[in-house]
Amino acid sequence: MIRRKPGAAFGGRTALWFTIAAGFAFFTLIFSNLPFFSVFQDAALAVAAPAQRAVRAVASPMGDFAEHFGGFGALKTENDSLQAENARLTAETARFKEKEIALNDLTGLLDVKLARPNDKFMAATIVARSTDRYERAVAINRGERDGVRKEMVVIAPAGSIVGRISSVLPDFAWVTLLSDPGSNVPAMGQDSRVEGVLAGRGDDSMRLELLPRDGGVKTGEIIMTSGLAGGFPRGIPLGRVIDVAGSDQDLAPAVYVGPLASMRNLENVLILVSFVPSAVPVFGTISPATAGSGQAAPAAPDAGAAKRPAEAVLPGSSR
Amino acid sequence: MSLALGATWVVFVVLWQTAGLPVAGLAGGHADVLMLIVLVWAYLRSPRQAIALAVIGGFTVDILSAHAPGVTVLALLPAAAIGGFQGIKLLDTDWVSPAILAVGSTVVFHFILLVLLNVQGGAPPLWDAMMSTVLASAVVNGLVTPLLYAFVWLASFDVRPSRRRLRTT
Repeated sequence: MIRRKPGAAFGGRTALWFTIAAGFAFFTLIFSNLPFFSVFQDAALAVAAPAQRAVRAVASPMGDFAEHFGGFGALKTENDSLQAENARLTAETARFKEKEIALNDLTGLLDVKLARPNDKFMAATIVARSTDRYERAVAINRGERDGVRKEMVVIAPAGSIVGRISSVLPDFAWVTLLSDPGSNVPAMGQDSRVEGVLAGRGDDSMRLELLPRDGGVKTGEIIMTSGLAGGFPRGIPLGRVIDVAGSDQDLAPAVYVGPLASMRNLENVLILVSFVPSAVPVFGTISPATAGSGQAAPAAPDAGAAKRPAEAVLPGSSR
Repeated sequence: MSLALGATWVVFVVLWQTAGLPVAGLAGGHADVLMLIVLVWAYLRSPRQAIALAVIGGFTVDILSAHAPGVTVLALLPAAAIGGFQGIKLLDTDWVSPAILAVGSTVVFHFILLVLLNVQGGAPPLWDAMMSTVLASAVVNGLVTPLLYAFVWLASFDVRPSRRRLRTT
C-alpha cells in the first residue's frame, strides 16, 4: 500500500491547481494564432530536432525489436530496402506511363508539359511527426525564410506525393499528409481514367471517393493527381489501389488506396517550389485553414528559394 | 522518484512519439503512454504532481506536433483528476483499479481531444473515431497500465513504507 504525499486527495487546493492549469491551457488555445506562439514553436522545434534524432538513433533498434518481436532484423532491413526500391520503380514506371499517355493524348496535355519543362524542388528533412491518429502531419526543416509557402506540394524522393504544406513557421513548416482525415486531393485512376477525390482516413491508407458507380477502378491500379481545382499539378502518383469493396447496391465502390512510399520510414522529402497552387473554390478541396482565412494562392516562392545549397533541380517534370 | 525525474520521463516519452517510434498497439488502437503516466502518477503519488506532468507533457506534445498549444493539456488534465479520486477502490488489490480507471480515462482523453480538434477543423468525425480507434485504445491502455503502475510503484520508494518498517509495526 502506498502512503501518498500531501496533496494526494483531490481536494480544494488540488482543484484550484487543476482550474489554473485548465485556464492556462484554454488561454493558450484561444490565443494560439498570435505570432509569439509561431516563434516559440519554431525555437522549440530547433531545440528538439537534434534530441529527436538522438532518441530515434538510440531507440530505433529497440522500437524495431519491440515491433517485430522474435527478431527478424535482417529480413526487415532487406524488406525495407526492397519496399523503397519497389516504391521508386513503381513511381518511375507510373511517370513514364503517364508521359506516354500524355504524348499520345490530343487534348492539349502536351502544351501543359511544355509550359512546365523543369520542375524545381527544394530538399527538406523531416524533424518531427504528429503523435496521434487524428492529425497526420510531419514537420520539415524548411520554413518561410527558405521560401516555403502554405499549400505547396510535398513529394517523396521516389516521386509520389506525400502531402502539402499546412502551416509555415520562420524556419520550419508542417506538412499535412495524404493520410490525414482532413486531406482531400482530386485524383484519377491511371488506367481507368476515372476521377474522384482521394481522402485520408487517419491510418496508413486512403479512400478514393466521389467515384461514378461503374468506375472500373481495379486493385493494383496507380492513382494520380487529376489536377482539378488547381491545388496539385496533374499526373503525379498518389498511391496504389489495395482493395476495391462494395456490392452492386452501393452508390459507389469503396476503393482503398495505399501510399507508394512508406510514411513511417520517410526522412527526406522534396517541396515542389515551381508549382504555385491556385485556390479554385471546388467542393472538398479547400483546407479549413485556407477556407477560414479566405487566403488565395500563395505568393511565388522564388524569393528565398535559392538561399540554401540543398535546393535541387531534379530531372523529369510533373505536368 | 521526484517530480523532476517524472518530468524528464514525460519529455522522453514525447520525444519518442514525435520521433515516429512505435508504441504498443492492438487492432488499430495504440497505448496513450503520456496519459497513462499522468493517471498512474495521480493514483500512486499525488494528483497535484500529475497536473504538473500533464501541463509539461501536454505543452511539449503540442509544441512538437501540429496541434494548437493547449489541446493536449486539456485532454490530459482529466486523467490527473480521475487518477486522484481517493474513493475509488473497486477491488482489494491496488493493481486492478488503475487498469479500470485507464479505460475510462482513455475515453475521456480521446473525447476531449477529438472535440477540440473538430472545433479547429480537419479531424475525423467524432463518433466514427470513437468507435474505430478509441475502444481499441482503451483495451490496449488497460493492458499496458499494470506495467507502468509497476514501474512507478517500484520507483516510488520515497513515499512507499519499507517492508521492514511494515513488519516491525
